[in-house]
Amino acid sequence: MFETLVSAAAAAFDPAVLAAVFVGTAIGTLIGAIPGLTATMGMALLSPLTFFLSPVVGVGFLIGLYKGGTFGGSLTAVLIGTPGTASNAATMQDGYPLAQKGEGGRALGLSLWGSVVGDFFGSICLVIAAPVIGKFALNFGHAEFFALTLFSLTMVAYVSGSSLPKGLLAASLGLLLALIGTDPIGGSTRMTFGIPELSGGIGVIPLAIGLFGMSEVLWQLSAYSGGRAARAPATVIPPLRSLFAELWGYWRTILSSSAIGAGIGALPGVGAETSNWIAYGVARRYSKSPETFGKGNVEGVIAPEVSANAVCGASFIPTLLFGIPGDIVTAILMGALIAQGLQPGPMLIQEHPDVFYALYVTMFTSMFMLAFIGMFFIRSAGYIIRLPKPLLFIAVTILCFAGTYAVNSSVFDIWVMFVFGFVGYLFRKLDIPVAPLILAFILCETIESSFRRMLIQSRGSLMVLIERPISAVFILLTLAVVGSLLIKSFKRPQPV
Amino acid sequence: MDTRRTASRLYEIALGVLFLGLGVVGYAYVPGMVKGWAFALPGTTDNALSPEFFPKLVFCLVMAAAGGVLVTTPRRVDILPAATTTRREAARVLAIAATVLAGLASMRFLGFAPAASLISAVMLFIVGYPRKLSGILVLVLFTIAVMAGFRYGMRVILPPGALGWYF
Repeated sequence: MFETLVSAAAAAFDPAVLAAVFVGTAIGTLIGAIPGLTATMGMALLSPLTFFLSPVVGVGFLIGLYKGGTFGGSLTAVLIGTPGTASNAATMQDGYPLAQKGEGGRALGLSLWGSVVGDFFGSICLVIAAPVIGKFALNFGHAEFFALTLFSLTMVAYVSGSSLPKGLLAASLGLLLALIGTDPIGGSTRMTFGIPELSGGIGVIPLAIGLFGMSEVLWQLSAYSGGRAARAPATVIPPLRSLFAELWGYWRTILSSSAIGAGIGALPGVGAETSNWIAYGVARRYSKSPETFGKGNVEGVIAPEVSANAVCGASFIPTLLFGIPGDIVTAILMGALIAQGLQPGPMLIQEHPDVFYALYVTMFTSMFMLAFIGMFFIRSAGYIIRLPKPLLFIAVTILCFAGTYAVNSSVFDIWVMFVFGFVGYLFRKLDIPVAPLILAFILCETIESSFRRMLIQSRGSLMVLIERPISAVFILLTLAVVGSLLIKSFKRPQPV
Repeated sequence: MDTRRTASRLYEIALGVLFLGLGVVGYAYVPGMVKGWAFALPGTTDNALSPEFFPKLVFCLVMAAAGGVLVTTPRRVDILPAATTTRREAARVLAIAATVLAGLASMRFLGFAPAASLISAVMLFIVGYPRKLSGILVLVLFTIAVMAGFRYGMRVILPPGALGWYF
């Protein structure tokens, strides 16, 4: 064990890994800071690059990208009142009013260090929980995996936006798309319609690049009106000592927001887009001055930022230990791990302990990188915001082509990516959430093979689900979530 | 009633009907979409072994979700972005899509760099970017940089065209 930890630490401190984490964090922060580009899109676009790197270098790059992207969105949220990513939408509520009062530097400083603290908390949760949950996960059979995956699918409800049926529709389409290719049990080809390129199925990377990258290009360019880019106000960053002293004064908010972020991150399927609003709501609820929220209360900046970054580490718990993504970003990261030959799940820690523990260490090194790079970016955010949109998004189109082609050297994949780009655009126009589609697409193989294997073992009986305690608990939780959602959706009208 | 709200409801009904139809047709034609077979074990495992088993369940889910959309549509009061889309916006999306499709089709003959540069230039015209010449120059340089990065950094040769390896 000790030797494994030492070799993992050595791998994580390898100059190539440190450089990858540094570059990943910098690119992630840059991507997050540009309105319209998100951490999810960045992960989808750049994950093909990591297939050509060693697992620790590649995943280190993606972890940096994830954390940088989660923080980067707060730069525009505070400075121009446009959140770079959905994870920073709550930060805007108080960050932007602070910037208008001339305290943008203070808001950004608190946002950065709040992100770092939240990130630390989330990573600690991963370190503490992983060995315990890892051992527990070894007891999982097909029935338990099916029940847990089914429960994860119900979490789709939380990323379904204003309409649960539309979320369900997107999820069912995700499942349908994942069925294209080869049957995981018998090896028959299904739904390929005579197209040989589909016999291996649709890849998660072309799908993700299309849904998150190409669709955003279509969305942004179609709405481009030729106006000048928003100008950010000048920012003065307070000294570190005063920022830390101010953060210390809000330790209760930090603790509760970290716990909210880590708790939500550990749930399969839900991520920072949800946690930042919950943390904001809780902070306002227990604040001594709730009436100042929305008018420039620093607690309203700290709480969502801490919670959004606490999700990062914690979302690796279901991803690495059960093979069930914590959120969309980790779903793409999971695709990258699989492409590297590493199958996330209970056996990952057993079969590749060196890689697993190196990822632990990388979580912390990326945290330091975020602090360092963040300080640079909050000083130069004003320039990033002024990048001309048409050039930026046409460059993204070129990256969409190149990134998709690189995975399998297949032009067919580019066509697939483009088709899903258009589908993603139509989904946005029809207010259908994309997140359930990609989550269901990734979970489909686990849910199908565990369900069918369970039925084969139990000779067709579903009773096994309630006879085994772990699966019974997840089935009960699933029923409770579905029941409450049905009651809620029939009780209230359906406005946004 | 507001025309945009009416349009939103019509879009939702069309969506529900489309997916309900997809579910019904898919469920009926699943056997035709599967190539191969599965041997049956005596007992009760035949269904689970069949490669059609799970697709049928998923098509049922599609039908249920589409039904849910149709049932909840009359109660929805929000306006869909599709209902506020201007003709100019729609025309621009279609023009961009046509450009990308034409560019992808030409990639086989022209190669990655010329095709991507062509797509970039046409897209700049479609969106009405004011400084076209400098924009095209920046994007051509970016394309070359991406191509070089993939070729020398990752050993991936982006689609070469009939003009040869260097394109």
